[in-house]
Amino acid sequence: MAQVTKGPACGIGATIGYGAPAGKVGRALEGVPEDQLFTMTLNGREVKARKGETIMEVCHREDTYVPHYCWHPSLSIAGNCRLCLVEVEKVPKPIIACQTQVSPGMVVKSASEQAKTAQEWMMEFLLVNHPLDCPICDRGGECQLQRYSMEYGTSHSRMADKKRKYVKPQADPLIDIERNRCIMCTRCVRFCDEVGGDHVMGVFARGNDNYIGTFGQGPVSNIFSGNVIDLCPVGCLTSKPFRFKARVWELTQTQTTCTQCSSGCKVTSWTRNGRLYRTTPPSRQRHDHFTINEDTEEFICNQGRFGADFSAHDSRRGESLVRRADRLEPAPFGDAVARAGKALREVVERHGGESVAILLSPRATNEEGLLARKLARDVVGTWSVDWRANQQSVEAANAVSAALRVADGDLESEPDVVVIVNGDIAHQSPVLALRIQELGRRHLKKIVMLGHYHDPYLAGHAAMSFHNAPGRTAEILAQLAGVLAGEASVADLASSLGRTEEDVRELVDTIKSAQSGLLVQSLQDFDGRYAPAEVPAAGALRAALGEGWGWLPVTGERNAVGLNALGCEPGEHGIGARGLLDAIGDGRIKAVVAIGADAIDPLGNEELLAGALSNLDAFVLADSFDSPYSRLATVFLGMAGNLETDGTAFDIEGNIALVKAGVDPVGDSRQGWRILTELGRALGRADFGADSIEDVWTQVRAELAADSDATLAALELEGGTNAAQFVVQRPAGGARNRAPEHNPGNYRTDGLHLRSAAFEAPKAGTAPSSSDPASAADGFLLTWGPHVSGRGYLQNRASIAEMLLPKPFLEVHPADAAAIGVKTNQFAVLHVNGLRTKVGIKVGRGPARGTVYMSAGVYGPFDPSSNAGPVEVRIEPLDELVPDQGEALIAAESAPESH
Amino acid sequence: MILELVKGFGLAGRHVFDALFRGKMVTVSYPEVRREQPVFFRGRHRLQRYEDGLERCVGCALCAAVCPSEAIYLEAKENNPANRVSPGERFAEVYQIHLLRCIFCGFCEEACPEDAIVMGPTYELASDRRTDFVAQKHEMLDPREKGFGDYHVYDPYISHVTPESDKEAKADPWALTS
Ligand code: SF4
Ligand code: SF4
Ligand code: SF4
Ligand code: SF4
Ligand code: SF4
Ligand code: FES
Repeated sequence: MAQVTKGPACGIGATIGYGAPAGKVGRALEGVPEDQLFTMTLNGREVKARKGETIMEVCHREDTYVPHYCWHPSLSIAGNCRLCLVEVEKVPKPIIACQTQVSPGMVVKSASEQAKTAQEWMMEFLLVNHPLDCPICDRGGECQLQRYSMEYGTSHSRMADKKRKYVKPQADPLIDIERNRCIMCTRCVRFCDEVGGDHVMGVFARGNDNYIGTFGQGPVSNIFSGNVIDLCPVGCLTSKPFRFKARVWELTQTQTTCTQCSSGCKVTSWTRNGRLYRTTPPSRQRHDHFTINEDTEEFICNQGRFGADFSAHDSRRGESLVRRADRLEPAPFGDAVARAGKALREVVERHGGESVAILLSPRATNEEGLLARKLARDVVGTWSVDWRANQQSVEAANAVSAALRVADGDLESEPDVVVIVNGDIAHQSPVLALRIQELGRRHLKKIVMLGHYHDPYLAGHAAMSFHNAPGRTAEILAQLAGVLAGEASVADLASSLGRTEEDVRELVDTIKSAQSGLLVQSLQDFDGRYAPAEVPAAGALRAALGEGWGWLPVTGERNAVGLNALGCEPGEHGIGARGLLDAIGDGRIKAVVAIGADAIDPLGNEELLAGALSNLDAFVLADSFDSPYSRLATVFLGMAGNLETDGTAFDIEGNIALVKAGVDPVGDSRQGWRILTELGRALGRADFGADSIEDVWTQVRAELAADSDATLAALELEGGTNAAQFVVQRPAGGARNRAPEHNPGNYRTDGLHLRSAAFEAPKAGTAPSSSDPASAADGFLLTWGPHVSGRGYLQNRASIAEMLLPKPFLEVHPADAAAIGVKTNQFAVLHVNGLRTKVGIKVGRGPARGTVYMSAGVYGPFDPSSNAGPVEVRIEPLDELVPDQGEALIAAESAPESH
Repeated sequence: MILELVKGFGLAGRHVFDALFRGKMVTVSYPEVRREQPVFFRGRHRLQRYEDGLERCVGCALCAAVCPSEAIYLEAKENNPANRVSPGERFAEVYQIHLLRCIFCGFCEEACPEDAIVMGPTYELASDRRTDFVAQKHEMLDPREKGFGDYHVYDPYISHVTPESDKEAKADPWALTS
């Protein structure tokens, strides 16, 4: 058996010995020029094929199943399991379908006697050392080896010798590795090399002794590592959190979407007895069996996979609470809602509707968003409704809204060039980054990186990369737009970028010569500090790029696009999330309705919020958890949690998808749209809201795209389990479901109307002035960005939250690291804002020279967001290494600086 | 008609005579006397053990999968190598059979890959409390001394094969050492 003997020496950072990446599998032949097509014979049938395709790809398109282990549509071709052997006429021995390219007139027999015998013998061979402990093995029931044994194998073995046996490593906290079951397909190795990007898994030793493992016995460190669990066709890599919890056939599958970031990945939630057991990429029907990720190209990140069970946290509260004489007492939902309505009515009568603010969690569904907006505008009569608590300032929030409103790009169109500005995308919307990376890796599109931080995950695939200091990105973008419009010179841009004219000319030529392109801009990078200046600059650049280009502003919030399109924002008349605390302070806001406590949680620390909220006349909180906020509520309404809510939501590219309840709401809790409906009715509008989710969807649909008559059931079908549809197509339907961006006046009610949604540049001067990094003698400028696992309120409640939370580290440019004498895994003291923090160092090319990047979501004891401009820090190397390489990067201690 | 009546009473009379005077008793005096059950009698379930006392059940849930009346509920868990419940990595932490749902078909017994669940001779299942009909694992487990046989379960806790076991293993590919 031709096994890959990829030892440590040749494995790092390279994919030596592997074939070309697989193309988009089973792609339809429409539109392929005639001269690229020819006919061949597959199992006696005449079929069309394209030059350069492999037999496997043709079989895929023709729906002919050829057994395979090592081949995967998203990964390069390895050709080492030899299970896909087929008979080809005029070739004396069977050959592998996954790596053999088709040629005109080729006659392929995938189920002939010869092919079958070859497959049978391969099965026997793969089982030679296999422990066959299916009763214990966690893969049992969804194991490709089990299935193939039944379909292609024999029932006996001729193996009489002892079986090879390895010690079990304890390398990864999330992935259980049981080497004895490995069949050496190297899917996991290729995944870490090609998709995960950390090159950490490898095949060790040679020949019969080879085994799978991680370099240095460390964990698989990439944020997509959980996918190797699904990729592994056998029980070698299994999920630790799910280990032995249940058998897969006992679980109920719900096809839904992840609610944790704006990638909005399609997922399958596996539940039993009202409890979530695991989350995986969508399970699909493939021929006669269900499979996760066998032939589909969908990956999800670790946060979505392992961190979605927060609804089961101890602090979960199902029933509603009502404040009576300074004490919160449980109350039936109906009573609580009536009480909330009464409290709000009193405030409205006394202080007017404008004194009420309604805040939404950014993961609210479109249905919740629409009803919240209607409740504010039609019932209460206030402008103040907002979802943008995560943005760090009013200006940043407005910039985000402005960008989302005019965004017109997505990855679906496979643009020729992707220009990434401040690419901190993998941390805040991981799978979006994965898909951008895929464009570069598999479809050979050009990736260009601009801005002050270049995500290492994407940078490895970038054709060009131009760094600049934090705060100067807007200037650079404006210059680039000028160059493209012929108004500025390349020389000027080159000098601002500190690069040669040739380099910059290449950049300009690449952009100019592209048929199509996409401008991807991270809005929340550095907490959106520079967004107010960078959004207009990127908008101008987008205009200069012209036809064929699109603009995709990225923020990590789950339903940012939907809530923005539905007008859940205060416009210029109302008070937004970021102005809320001030407005409470000066008495403009007297009552707050929060749908999900994460709608207010990011606004400040607990004390600050508690102080403000206790000044309110009424605080109505609909949430799923006991929290410091629930204790302050006038009325607490038990709201259904994750996986208990129905509705729709948009991903950041503007595709709509179904969020589907897989279990019943805990206790007496209700779905958000019902709570809003009941609130509206308690406020005296008997016709408010709707009595079924379908009815709310009808209202949403009317608002978003009047010409669509899709029902929720139709959406479900689209995201359903039809494999053929999803092998060739990304989930979530494509751009046709994009919200109408230029739709001002959509939400005009009762004489109130929002300003035109047209893009308008925020006032100059909101962004801090640029500063020259070279002048910061021994100081560095600090940058950071949000992290999908570090958002706090919900993510902290996941059962293995601390394993998912990023360990704080400081990324330093190699040249700077050499200058101050620090190495990867060395501790250093970071002096910032008069505080010092001990942090592990990682040397990398993410930040520009003179800039350091703090891992996202973890700021240690200091709060950089309180500063307006670039934050200067000093690094003092310590003579101490981060213990235990695998467990790297732990912030140990922090103390106020003594001087 | 008369003839049939005579024949019938005659037969009954013969049985009465046999029982009373020839010692050919058909019924037994239950509950003082209990009848021996045939070997394959399908009564109340038992969970068997290995000779060294470890439980045979590894919590694979195949019995629950095959059960036509969904009478079996189990939750598996990972063994603690220092204090094991079963050979291998997995054991059944919770194992319940709902005897009111069970139809005593014996499929579970047939499906079990470890010879763990078997149906015993016990047929006295009546109770006046419903909860008594949910048989828990500890109620079904055999006493330790009734364990038998050595295990052939693949066991990752047992590390590399030693030279001695090599010979052994050559003879029996499943032989494992500890
Ligand atoms: S990997 Fe598959 S065949 Fe091997 S023990 Fe596990 S379930 Fe059985
Ligand atoms: S661990 Fe699984 S995915 Fe990796 S090589 Fe072995 S069988 Fe393949
Ligand atoms: S990328 Fe975002 S949406 Fe996708 S699985 Fe991860 S957290 Fe969920
Ligand atoms: S005997 Fe039949 S019905 Fe009863 S538990 Fe076993 S499989 Fe289920
Ligand atoms: S009794 Fe047998 S079939 Fe049932 S879980 Fe235990 S080992 Fe598996
Ligand atoms: S060799 Fe073709 S699938 Fe493995």
